Amino acid sequence: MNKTLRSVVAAGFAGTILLGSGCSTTPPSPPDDKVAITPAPAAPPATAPQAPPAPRVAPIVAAPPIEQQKPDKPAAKAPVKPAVVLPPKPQAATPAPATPTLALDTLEQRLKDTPAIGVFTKLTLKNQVDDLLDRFRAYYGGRGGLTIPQLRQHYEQLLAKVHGLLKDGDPALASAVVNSREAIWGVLTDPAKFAKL
Amino acid sequence: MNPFLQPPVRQRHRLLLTLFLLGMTPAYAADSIALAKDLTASIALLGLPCGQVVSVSPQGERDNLVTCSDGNRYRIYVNAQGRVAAEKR
Repeated sequence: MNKTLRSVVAAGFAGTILLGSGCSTTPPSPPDDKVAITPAPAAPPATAPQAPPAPRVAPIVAAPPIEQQKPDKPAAKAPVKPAVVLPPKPQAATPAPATPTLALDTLEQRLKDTPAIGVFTKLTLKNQVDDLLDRFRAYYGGRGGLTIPQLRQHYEQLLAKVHGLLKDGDPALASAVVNSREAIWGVLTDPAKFAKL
Repeated sequence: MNPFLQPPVRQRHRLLLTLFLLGMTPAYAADSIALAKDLTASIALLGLPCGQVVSVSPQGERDNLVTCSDGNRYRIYVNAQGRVAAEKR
């Protein structure tokens, strides 16, 4: 560090001599130009007091701080890396609010609105949901030959189809459907709630 | 007059027609792809063998004749009861 400071002060001194001897109009030497271009916007306040004699010296003197900071940067970054490793903890906590359980009517509306599936697909899905509801009605009316486990199987198959259709085009809705699985099943298997559908 | 040189007006018309077709093709292609994808999903939901729909020939509103990648052909339409129906052809 002292070495560089000395060389910079020497360069500044040489610059003042050149300016004082009337050589300022001659084209400046290439190395001085290179140094002057890059460091100018860097930290001038650190070395500003060292270059008061000539206005041209200031940029030259400003060069060393960058060189001094460069070796410091890796040392400064080293403690930052562990801080970057920390974020996984919040990520593990985020999935919970991202996949809320949806009410049946909200789910129906979101399925109608999603651009992830086309009109024919939506209509076919609606037909199959209606078929499942008809099976439940038959079950509650004592007409259906299906048991609750069999109805659950139909229900799971339908949900798997819906999830498969949405997982690429609308992953948020797909996960919402999966998370609402038990809530919807609760409505379907409760005769009072089902009657209100 | 050189017979191989076209009059500027005709050249301009040809250029405009080309630009028009180039501009229209992507939108039309995107719609076709979306419809084919929609019908593929619909056929799969109905549990019919198909693979992917490779061509769609509209027969009317919500009525399409489709050819599948496995060679099956279906007429997919919405019937009077509002149900999506598939007829094997």
